[in-house]
Amino acid sequence: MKKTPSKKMGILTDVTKCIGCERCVEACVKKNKLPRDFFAHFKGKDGLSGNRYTAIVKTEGKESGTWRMVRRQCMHCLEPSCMAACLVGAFSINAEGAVVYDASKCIGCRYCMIACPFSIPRYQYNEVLPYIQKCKMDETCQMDDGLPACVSACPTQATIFGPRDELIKEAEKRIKSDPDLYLDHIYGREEFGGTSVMYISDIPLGETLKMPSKEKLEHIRLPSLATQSIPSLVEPWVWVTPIQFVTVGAGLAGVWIFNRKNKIAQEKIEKQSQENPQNSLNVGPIKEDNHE
Amino acid sequence: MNNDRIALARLKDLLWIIFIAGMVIGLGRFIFGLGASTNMTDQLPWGLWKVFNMVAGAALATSGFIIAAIIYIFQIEKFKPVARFSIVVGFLGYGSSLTALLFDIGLPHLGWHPFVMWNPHSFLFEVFWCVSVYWSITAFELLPVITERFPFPRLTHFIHQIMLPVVILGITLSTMHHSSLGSLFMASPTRLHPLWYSLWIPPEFFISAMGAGLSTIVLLLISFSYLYRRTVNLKLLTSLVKGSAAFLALYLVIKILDFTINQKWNFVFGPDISWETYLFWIEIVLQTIIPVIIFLTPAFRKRIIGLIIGTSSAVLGLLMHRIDTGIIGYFTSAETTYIPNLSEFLLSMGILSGAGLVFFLIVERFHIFDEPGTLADGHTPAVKLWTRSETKEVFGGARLKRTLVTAVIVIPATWILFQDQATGPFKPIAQPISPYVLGIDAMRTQLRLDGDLNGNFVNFNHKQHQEDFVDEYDFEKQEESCIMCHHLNLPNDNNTQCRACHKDMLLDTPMFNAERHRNRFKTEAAFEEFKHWEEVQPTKNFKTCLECHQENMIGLAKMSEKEFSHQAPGYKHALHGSCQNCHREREGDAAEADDDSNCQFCHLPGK
Repeated sequence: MKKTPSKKMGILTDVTKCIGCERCVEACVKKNKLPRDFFAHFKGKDGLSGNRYTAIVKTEGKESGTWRMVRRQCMHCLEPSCMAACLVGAFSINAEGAVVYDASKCIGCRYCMIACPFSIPRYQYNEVLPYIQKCKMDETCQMDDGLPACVSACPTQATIFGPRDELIKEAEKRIKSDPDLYLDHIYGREEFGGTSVMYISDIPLGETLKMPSKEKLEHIRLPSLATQSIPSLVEPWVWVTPIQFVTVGAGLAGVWIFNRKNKIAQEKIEKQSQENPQNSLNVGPIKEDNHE
Repeated sequence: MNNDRIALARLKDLLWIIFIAGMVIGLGRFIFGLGASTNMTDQLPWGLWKVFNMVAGAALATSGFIIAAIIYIFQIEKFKPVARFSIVVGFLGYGSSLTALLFDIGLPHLGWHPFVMWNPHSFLFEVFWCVSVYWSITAFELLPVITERFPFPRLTHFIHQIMLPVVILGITLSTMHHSSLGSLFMASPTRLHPLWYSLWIPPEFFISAMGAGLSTIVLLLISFSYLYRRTVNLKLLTSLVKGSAAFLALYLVIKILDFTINQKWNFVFGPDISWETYLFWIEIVLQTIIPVIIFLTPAFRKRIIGLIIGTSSAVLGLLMHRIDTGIIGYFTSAETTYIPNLSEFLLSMGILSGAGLVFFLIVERFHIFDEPGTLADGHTPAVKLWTRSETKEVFGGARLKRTLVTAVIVIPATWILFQDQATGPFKPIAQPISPYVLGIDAMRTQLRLDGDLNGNFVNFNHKQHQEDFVDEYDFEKQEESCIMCHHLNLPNDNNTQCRACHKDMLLDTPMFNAERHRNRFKTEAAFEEFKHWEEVQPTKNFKTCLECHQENMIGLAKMSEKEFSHQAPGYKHALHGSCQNCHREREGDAAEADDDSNCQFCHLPGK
């Protein structure tokens, strides 16, 4: 598919076509000049690491003993959680919809790794000055044919690159053409607010891709995540902070003025009556504090 | 008095040892990186330093702002005796949290970035700003305690003049960042266990931090009184723990409301019980139920032992809650676990020990409890000015000697003992193939492979293969050629039979040395017949190979247990890469899909 620059681009992976040859991995390694991978210590079952931006995960098919190969990579969310989480704004979405990382801003707090629902960003733990590593999908991995290296290398066209809306049409077409084979679901179309990297498959991929099914989301009491992004889920709390700053600050000043006035008035009465009243408050004011 | 002084001196020695050892680990972390000194992984990237020292440490240091609010804003003079103490605790608590962060973040020299590069959408951005500004405020609040002992009366007076707006700013920032410390974990709804994940985390963190903060200061006051043989002001402590109980009970109520409204009781009482449920029960009992019962029962709360048990339980419960939320709650989704290694513990404790030493310095040298004058009186500094002999006492003399001796022993000892963990370079754990191979022979000349994982191993001349391939492709380095052969990426390796590549008998490639076979068969006719087997019985090919290559075959029974445990794993580990190389070289000529240069020739989707 030809690329049109202004459009949001994406990658569609058809799991039924993947043969697991790992040429996408090899192409990615060569294009990005990634070093030898020895992070068996750090990486999980998905094979991604500080030296590997994409990997093939073997997933059991419908019948036991049959296998499907699922390529894992950065999902390039439309509303990325990492971007909202990064305290220095090192993540951004470029014109083509790829979530790109600016290493010059990063301070290495690794909050993006906590925030990413797919657990994609990886860390160079072996380095003295480590950076976050993840799939780029930008011009740095473009081959001469205008495709990302991984897509360009795929011998079966199991993974294709193009404008996101066209990819969705293509996925729908494929699902319609063979409804017996495919599950009627495009992974990444709506989950977590939609992702640029999408999958169609004949087996459920929820576990492999860390995209919980509707039932699973219902189980953890967050059904809205089937269509809602994480940044928009927690958005209300972001706005609480500035409001809190103003109201709590003003409230505290008000309480101080009120108490001060009372005290001055009380001192006047004290002077007049020469009494010495005991302060009987103990925990009351603390309770008052927690309403703020 | 003497006895306690000895206990105090011993404690200080211990703190010095831990502090120095921790700093050695910290040095190692800066020289060799995070991978060498921590057990953090890609799945669980936040470890002890961030969650224990930072998130939990800040929560336990809340007393600074609560007491400030009570005294300055609500103007309840009763708590004045602990005002300075709580400020010291706040200052050191936040100071140690920020110090731990310095070691934890990957690029500490760029730690100033958030001040100039803003992302107001980030909860961590807010936490960073609030914590660093609030720490400066606690330092400012502590300043008059220091300056009053020096001849700067005007400065001291000026600080008191502008104290109130600063205190209000400090309290405001505290209410903000304590809830935001919880909001941090709201970013991972699908990864954090639902027992700890909630959209109600911010108020839960804020309230629980205040409850535990008051308990912390009571516990610290009791230990302080024990160490310095001071009388405990039981009445004051009782009011403090009553406040703590109020917050802890409120936290419990919020948690119950959270579980009721969000319908999460199935995780607590069943049917969705997992090991997290038991952990949660221990946590909630320690964090709220035990302290609330003790603090609300006059018989318990009026005894020192009751106070000690109650406050320790609240502190421990809070630590558990923060660590569960920040680390352990992620275990199930991460499919891995994280146990901090010894060097992480040591650095974590070293930072706290350093804070403890500064604490002793401040309480011994400055007026923390016997505050001279009051705010209303406009400060009558009836304090002794700092003398030169005091400087000598603090920075020289017996203490210095003792510390130097400790350092001389502890620094090299730690450096040597932690070579594997923090003070030595990062040691990559190799791909699973090497430990298997080393057991048989370190030169890796002869391996035993079970390509199709059927329990039958074959002798595999690794050296021969190496030579074949390295010569063939003329790689610059031996190292590089190994990478080419050994698989790029093997998260879940599978079985590939030898024949998957060796079946190509028509070409003279390193995969299948046709010349060698031709010589063996002597006549062309016999060789043709041999080649023909491939077409007739492709699936039986391996067996037919074995008719001749019987010597390569080793039965399981013939192997010693040690040999068996050192088998090289699947064929794919070793040779898959080179198969591809060879086949791909001819790819340009091959146009047809069923040509063996295409991956699909061997790999069929879904098989």
